[in-house]
Amino acid sequence: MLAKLILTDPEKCQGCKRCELQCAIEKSEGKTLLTAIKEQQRPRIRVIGNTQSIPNICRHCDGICIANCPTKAIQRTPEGAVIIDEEKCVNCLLCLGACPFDVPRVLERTVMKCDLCISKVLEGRVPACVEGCPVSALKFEMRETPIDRRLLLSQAFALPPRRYDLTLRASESPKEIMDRAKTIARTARLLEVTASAKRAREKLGLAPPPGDAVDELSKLVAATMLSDKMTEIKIWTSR
Amino acid sequence: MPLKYAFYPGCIIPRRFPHIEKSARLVASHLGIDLMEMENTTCCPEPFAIQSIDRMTHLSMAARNLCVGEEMNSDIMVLCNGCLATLWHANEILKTDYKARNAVNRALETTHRKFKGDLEVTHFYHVLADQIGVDKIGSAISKPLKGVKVAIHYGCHLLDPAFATRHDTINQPRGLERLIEAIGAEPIAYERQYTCCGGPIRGINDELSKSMLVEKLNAVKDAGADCLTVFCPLCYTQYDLGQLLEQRESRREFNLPVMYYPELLALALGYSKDEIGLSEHSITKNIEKMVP
Repeated sequence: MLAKLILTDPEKCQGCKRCELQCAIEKSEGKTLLTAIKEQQRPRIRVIGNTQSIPNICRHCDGICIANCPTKAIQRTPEGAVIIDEEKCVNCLLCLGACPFDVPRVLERTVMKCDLCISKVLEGRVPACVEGCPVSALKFEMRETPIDRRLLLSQAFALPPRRYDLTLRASESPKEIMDRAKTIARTARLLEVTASAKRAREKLGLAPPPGDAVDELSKLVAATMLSDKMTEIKIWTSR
Repeated sequence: MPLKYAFYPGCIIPRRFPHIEKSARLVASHLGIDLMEMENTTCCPEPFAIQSIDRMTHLSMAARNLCVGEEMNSDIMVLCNGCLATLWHANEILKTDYKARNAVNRALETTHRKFKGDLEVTHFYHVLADQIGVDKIGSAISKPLKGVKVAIHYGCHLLDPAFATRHDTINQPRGLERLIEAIGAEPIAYERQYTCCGGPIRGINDELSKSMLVEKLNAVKDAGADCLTVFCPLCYTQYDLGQLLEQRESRREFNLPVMYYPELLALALGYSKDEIGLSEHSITKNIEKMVP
């Protein structure tokens, strides 16, 4: 079945979070910014990521949330969207545990997720977040649905490699984390002794400099990557 | 009581400029400073790249180097302004912020180390200016550098923040000037003396880096200096190697020798130019003038 879906392009995303704002406005009663604030609406799309902004939204994939829902509150509509029936939802949070993309969010008595702005789409318009994105990092395009979630997971955060990327990815195994920690540790190791410096050291009668400790350092970096990040560290005290 | 320090030469100095390390070691042994080698150290890490992404990782990497010093029961002496900025700052944070210290210690457990916070980080400059003192240096020298006009570039991390320099004010530091006077040379002031050398942005914005370098070199030449003295290997790289590259590119001749301060001091203490490896400099044209 072909259906239009929201596709994200993390490389274009600038992290302005306008999609979040537009989503909250669209979901509010009065569909204005004021009503959204008054109702304390929360967006269905989230811009995540530490070094790189990644718009995170429901992919409407062949997710196991549908199969996991004990009350069959989560259903796929004929338009290809996966939606939650709030009447049936008993807030058991099994869909939260099932979602590999960390998409469903808990409300007071129910769970919320993207419904692909189904009412807007039926009018022939595009979803609010796609409409709001100023850099077309979000697109509303035709795809074969449902998309295989394993395929999505392999591409989910397929960003260009960054030199100092400390963001943990959803798909990473401990071995991958260790590999990345080693890369970071290598950037912080001591420089190689150049041939000319080696000659100069010999000429000046200096012993070769002590070796570095990259293995120990990579262990340390991996430990900091896995630990809770400190949100606040005291910076320079004032003069 | 003899001065005793765990010696942290950093990464640039032993691996790119061994002549700087040699002069520092000669001066230290001459003035009775005991330097102990630190094993298993890494890059300090340098003050910007990792810190701008993740301060926790930056802090624990610095804390690991501090732990090596703590295990030697000795204060750490560094030769580089960048190492001073990183290690001194990390030391202060971890001593005062118990949340940061606990988090860092949890990470350090994986490497069987623990940050206790019982050492100080100090720069060779502070040791010379505060611990040894200009009087002792003045009486120790045998070949004063008479009539040599020396322009001084402190390097940003030796001046800012002001409390890191401990005794100078940022607006008008006098420490290095007094050290220059102590070896018989004449410190001279020049325009834009306390601005950055432009070294840290080399590789990011080469044009800006070059224009900053040329501005400073022109000001130093206009003031009539015989050499420029620095206390930081990155400033040294920028002025020495950067000057050579600039001369090749633009065919402008500066030929301004750049001296790491302990090199000048070693010359004044009577060491020969071969002993401290003056020929390793990139700019060697007018360097003979410094040899007394």
